[in-house]
Amino acid sequence: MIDGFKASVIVYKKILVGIDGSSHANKALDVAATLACTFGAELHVFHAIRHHFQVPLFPVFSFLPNPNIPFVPGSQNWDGDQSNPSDQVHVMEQKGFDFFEDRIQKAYEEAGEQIIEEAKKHVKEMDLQMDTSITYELETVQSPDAYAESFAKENGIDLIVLGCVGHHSGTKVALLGTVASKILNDAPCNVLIVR
Amino acid sequence: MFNKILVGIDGSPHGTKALETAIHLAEQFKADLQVFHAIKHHFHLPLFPLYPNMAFQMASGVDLNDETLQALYEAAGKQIIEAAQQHVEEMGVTLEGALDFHLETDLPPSEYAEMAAREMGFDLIVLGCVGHHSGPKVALLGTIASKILNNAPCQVLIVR
Repeated sequence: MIDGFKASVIVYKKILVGIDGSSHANKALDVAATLACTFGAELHVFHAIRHHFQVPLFPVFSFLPNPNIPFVPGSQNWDGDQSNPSDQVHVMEQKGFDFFEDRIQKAYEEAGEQIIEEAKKHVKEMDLQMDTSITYELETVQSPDAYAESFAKENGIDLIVLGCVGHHSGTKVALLGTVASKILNDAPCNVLIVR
Repeated sequence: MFNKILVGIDGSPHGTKALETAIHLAEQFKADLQVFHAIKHHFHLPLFPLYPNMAFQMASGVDLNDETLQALYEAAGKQIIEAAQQHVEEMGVTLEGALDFHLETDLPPSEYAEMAAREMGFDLIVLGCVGHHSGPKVALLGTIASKILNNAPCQVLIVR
């Protein structure tokens, strides 16, 4: 009877949630925080910047002065050049791709820090009565799926919470995003897909 | 957070684990729970006669027309549902929400789950990562879970 009681009160003890600043990810964060609160579970929040690097057209973002794309702080400052985008692409072709890699990494790190900060703020605003710890991690080396898999294995995570689609999937995608699919296939534990 | 939970089972170990998880979640969130098994997906499989009684039917030369198949799978499905009922009783969990068991004989599992979520307002679907026909070595996501994941209008929990 006591065993049954224990088993039914605690289902999840360690929850990992991946965020990228998208609306689905924010919902996933809500759900994960609520679950962590309900189950008295540890909550680990992470954002991995690296998956953007695999999107072939990522530097395009940097040239768009679009305030709706939050990933590119300081994008106007490339060589102090405020000229039109095609000129900047030309500069890029001349100087080669590597020249920009450090800056891209740095820009994404800054954007990632911002995403983490917003998540912290958001969780604080939820004003949950949590007995357990919350950690926030900005992953700058591994891709999100590799990070989630290794983190889950090493830390005995028993639930990963993810938004069904992230930022680069576009708003019309009804199916499962690529990052969520990869994590679903590789994860050693339960996975909750939030819509 | 969850008010109506739907869990799909097929008698496989992962399906049973999904059932256990769903029961715990329903208890925790005082949610209604429906446990369902849909017999139709077996029909699409070339090697459907996995169940011993079916192998017997095959060996004994019974004509496996659709009706016979349907009857056989319904019988197997009933067994799966009964086993689930028994399993839930043995868990000794008291649920505050409603608990019901459903044997779906018309729709394939992915269509049923989608329809149920839309029309009956389920807000969480719990599934095992792989089912019966995926074989024991499959680490990836089973076909039915994938289909439901892509089509479901609500949250989906994949249990490993």
